[in-house]
Amino acid sequence: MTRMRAATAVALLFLAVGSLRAMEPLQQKDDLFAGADKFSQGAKSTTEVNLDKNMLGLMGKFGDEGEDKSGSELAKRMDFVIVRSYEYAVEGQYNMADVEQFRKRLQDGGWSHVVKERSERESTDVCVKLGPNGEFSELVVISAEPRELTFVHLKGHMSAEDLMRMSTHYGVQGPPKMKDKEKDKEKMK
Amino acid sequence: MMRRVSGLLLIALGVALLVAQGVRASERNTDGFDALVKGLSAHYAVHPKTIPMMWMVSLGARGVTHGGVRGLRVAEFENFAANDDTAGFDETVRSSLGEDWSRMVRDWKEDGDESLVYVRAENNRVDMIVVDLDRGGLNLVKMTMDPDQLAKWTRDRGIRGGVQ
Repeated sequence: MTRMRAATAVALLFLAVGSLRAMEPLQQKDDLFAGADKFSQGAKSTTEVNLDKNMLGLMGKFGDEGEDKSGSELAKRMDFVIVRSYEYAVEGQYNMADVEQFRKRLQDGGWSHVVKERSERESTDVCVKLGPNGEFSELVVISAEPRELTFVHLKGHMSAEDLMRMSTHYGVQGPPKMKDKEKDKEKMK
Repeated sequence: MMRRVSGLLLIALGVALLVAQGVRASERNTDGFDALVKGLSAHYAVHPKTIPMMWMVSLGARGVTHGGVRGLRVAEFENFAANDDTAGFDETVRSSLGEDWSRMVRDWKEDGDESLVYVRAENNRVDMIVVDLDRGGLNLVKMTMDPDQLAKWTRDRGIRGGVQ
């Protein structure tokens, strides 16, 4: 009887482990940009990037240099990176009211608007959510141009320095530092 | 008597669960590339072109990268037409690969060109499948990597990438 119980217990254990494995997220889901697929209608090109924690961890290894493991350390602090980009052949292919619905999702839930740029034809929103220790836990960028619409969502536990390093790595120009401005002034003289 | 029957039932249940688990495990371990080629061939009634000596290329890649690339597989479909049904094509790829593959990149253009990158990571082994569809046909490439070894190999050659 003891053997029977053991066999059943082992079988149940296998099933439980298998079920847990099956419950792991298979593709990174992003509730914030759920429904963004509608913008692909009428687009001439669509780009979607989903980097989950596993993939970021693997990519981080390629950023290490010798004993300097900062690449993988930064990757470990990130949970996911999601990008949705839509390009249109002509203007007016997407509805600005639809974009506004996504912006509204950033009005609640502890989001802080750090950049809100509006012009006649373009708009940019950068929102961040801070963690308990003051680190960035989430960052969202929504950029709307007449022929291009981009959504970016980062989640993790990143310092401002981490974000700057990431933006530098991916070729995104940050705001000029004071020292650079002073250098420019000297050059002007 | 009742105790014996219930005991046998428990064993039968245990064995059934173990078998079910084994079937699931073997389903997960199937090569996604073969399933993808089979799925697309069946759905679109086309057959891939055989690329001769591909095993040698794969072996060469393994040697050159010091084990960073563990294997390469390529399948080429000529005159492949997804019939402007991008959603149907995407779904065929997704369902053929199965649930343990996740889509990392999708790049689509209105002229019908599409690139998909699927990844499956397990311990220190990463499988990546690139699906490249254009007017000329469809190309599938599978690369199996050892990320630590490949990262070391790229670092040694001054190739930089990833998150820094």
